[in-house]
Order: sequence, then C-alpha cells, then structure tokens
Amino acid sequence: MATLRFFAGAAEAAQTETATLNAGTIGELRTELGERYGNEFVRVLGLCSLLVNGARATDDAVALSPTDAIDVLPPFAGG
Amino acid sequence: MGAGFAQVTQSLLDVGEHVTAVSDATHGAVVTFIGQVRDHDPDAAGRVTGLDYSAHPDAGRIIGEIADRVRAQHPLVVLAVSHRIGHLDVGDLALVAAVASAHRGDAFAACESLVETVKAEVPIWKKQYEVDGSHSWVGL
Repeated sequence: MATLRFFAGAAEAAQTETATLNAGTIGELRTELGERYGNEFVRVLGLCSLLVNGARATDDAVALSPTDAIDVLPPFAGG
Repeated sequence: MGAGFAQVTQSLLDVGEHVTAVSDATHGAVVTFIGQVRDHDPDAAGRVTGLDYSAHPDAGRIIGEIADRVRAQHPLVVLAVSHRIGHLDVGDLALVAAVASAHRGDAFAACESLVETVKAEVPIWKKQYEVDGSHSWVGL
C-alpha cells in the first residue's frame, strides 16, 4: 500500500495526517481519496500538489507502486 | 567575509543578527527585508489576530537550496534569511532577509529574488485566526 502524508489544510480536510491506500495511478489515488474523505477534501485536493517520493507528479496518468510515499501539499503560503 | 545562513526556525527572528551575519569591511550596502504578521488578509473575513505557520520536513533544505541559487546568480553578495514557524502574533516577524554586497545594486536585486523565491517555493503553510475565533488556511 502506498503511504500518504497530508499537510496543513489538507490534513485538516482529511482529519488525519497519514493514510495508506492502493492505487495504480495518481488519477486513481485522487478518486479513492475523494470517496474516502468527501467533497471538502476534493475541493482542497484540487488546489494541492502531489509529491511522489519527493518528485512532483503533475499528471493523473503517473503510475504508483505499493512502496511509494506520497505527500499532499496545499499551496505554499510563507512570508 | 560574512558567512550568512538560511534557515526555518521556531525561534524569534532578530534583524540585527542577520545584518551582522552578512556584514564585513568590503560591503558598502546591506539590504534588509522584514515580513511581519499583519491584521488583515484577503483570505480572512474579519480581523486577523494571529497565525500558525507549519512547514514540510524538507523546508529547511529547500530554503538552503534557494539561498545557493541566489548566490549563484549574484556571486558578489552574502545573504542571510530566516523563516519563522509556529504561532505568531500580529506584528511578529515571519521572514527576515539581509543581503550585503560592495554596491547596492547587487544587494537590492539579490534580496528581491531571495524573498520572492522563498515565498513561492518553500513548503510553508499559514493558518490564520480571526477575531471571531474562526480560522482559515491561506490559499485554500
């Protein structure tokens, strides 16, 4: 199972900071997370960037493996 | 030659510490930037009373890489930059930068590039509290 970390507003929307799930692609991951956490999370997720093992995944077709570590990052708001 | 630094920290920020870290006898110019917590924000309905900054575990490495890039683009400057995380009240310093060079042009240009890049690329998030007790996440 892939391991997820949610940060800041994404963790609040998911009501958890970590999760595990099975998904073959980024697109499947988005669908699965939406079903699990609901509409507000889907709205937030649409604004987030995803890191797969530290590299930004911008395409829903990106394949995932069970050992992947995925970070869900809301828009940065430093400064 | 001043050594400079780049960090994400829970500690209070001190502008003088940044200026000292970049200054030496060869520098005719030191440009500083202070980003401080204000009491209003476009993402807040009411008056902002304070905020929590949180960071990704890689934020410290990333601010260091940004500093390296700015130094590569402006090899004649010495820079120091800090972003504070944790709970901050209105008026607290969130982002401090100091950039020194022999002449002001390099220091102005490098300081602007440094601040803009830190704001755009360091994975830090802002949860702001409003006067009515509600909170909002900036950017969401």
